[in-house]
Amino acid sequence: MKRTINFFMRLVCFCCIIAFLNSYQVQAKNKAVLEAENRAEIEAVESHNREIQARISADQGIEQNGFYKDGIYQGTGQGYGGSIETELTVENGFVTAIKVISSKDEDPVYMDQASRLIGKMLDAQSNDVDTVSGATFSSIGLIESVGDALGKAV
Amino acid sequence: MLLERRCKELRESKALTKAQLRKRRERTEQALRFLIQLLFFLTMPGAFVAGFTGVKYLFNSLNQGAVLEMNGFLKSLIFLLEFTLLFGRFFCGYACAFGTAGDFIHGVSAFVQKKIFKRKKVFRIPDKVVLVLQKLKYLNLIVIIGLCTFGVYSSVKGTSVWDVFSRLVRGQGIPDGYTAGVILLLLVALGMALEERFFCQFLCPMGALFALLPVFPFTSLKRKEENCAKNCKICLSSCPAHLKLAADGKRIGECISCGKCQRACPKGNISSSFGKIYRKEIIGILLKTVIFFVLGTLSGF
Repeated sequence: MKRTINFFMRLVCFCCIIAFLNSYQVQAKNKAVLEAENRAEIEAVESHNREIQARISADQGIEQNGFYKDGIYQGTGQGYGGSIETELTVENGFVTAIKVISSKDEDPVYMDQASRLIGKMLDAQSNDVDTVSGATFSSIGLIESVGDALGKAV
Repeated sequence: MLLERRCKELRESKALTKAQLRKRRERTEQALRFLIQLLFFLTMPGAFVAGFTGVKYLFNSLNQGAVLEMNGFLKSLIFLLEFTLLFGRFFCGYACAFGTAGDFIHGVSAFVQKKIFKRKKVFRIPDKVVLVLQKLKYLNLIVIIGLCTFGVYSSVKGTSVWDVFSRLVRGQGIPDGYTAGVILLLLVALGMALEERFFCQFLCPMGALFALLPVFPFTSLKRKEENCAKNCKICLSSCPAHLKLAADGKRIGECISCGKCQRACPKGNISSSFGKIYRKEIIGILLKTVIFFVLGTLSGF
């Protein structure tokens, strides 16, 4: 009998924790939506600015080019389980795509996390990004791999 | 007449005593446990790390007010929690690679103690001391969760013995900044040699989490106290967690479902509700193995 009471008390506590996490999740999602709207506004203004900049430079006859040489480059890096191979596409001097070609020895759980860095690296147009906590080694491998490819594109 | 007497002699000489039968069953079940532990060690050695990373991820997210994403770590954690809720700490007793490594180290140590140092009894930390030490893992869990919630866990990352262990098990080198972790791992290995399941009992934060969970009583082990001989302590002295199963379920969270008490009891007083229905506990163990293996693989281990 005492065991059953013990079990139910713990079950109730456990359910309370789950309920708390749920309400947290709802709040966090609302906040994220607002943040995304904010960022979209900022991005709209910034892209407008860039357009105007480009037109001014065009009027003045200055070439608008990115930092890298056009082409497709491959790079290798050392991740958690083995090597990570990536392929970069550079168009008009800008890195337009980063693809992971192989990560065969990587733990899929960690690699999935590290892949979130691809978007950040495209934004930054470099591999100078922070690692994903909890998937540090896979992140380092991916960053190293992209860095290797970028090195061939200068 | 002669024929009958011969038949009777043959039958009696082949019959094993009850104790011998029990000993034989004990060895078979021990061998089975060893094989299952080996299976999980080879196929999913990273399970405990993935699960606990889920815990750290959860509290890091809370710290940043970020949306909780159902990534691999969180999925692993949820699976481990659900499984333990239903079947108890089978994971600890059979599927955790760290626990298996500890059992192996202790097995070697026990062998050395008996054969080389000629000790009669393998060394065990006294029960009263163990009672206190077992509370340390809850402190460890709270500290780590606290560090994550305040966003400062990265300052102690180099101390994680699990990170070092999981790299070594994969045959990889030790990463930079983990010197503290390596030293601690060596100390833990020493502890495992001295006391069975040293880390699991006293330090494991995942174990602390499991011990706090509600567990369905259906598959947990229980002792028929009425049948016990007076002052008998055989189950207590064979238990890695120094448990004497009590009716009120005190400290039942410490039980890692290894089954040693059940195998050691001379009266067969220990069984689970599942075992009473299905007669053989082995069926329960094999079922749990299959379920954990299949669902674990699906959860990404």
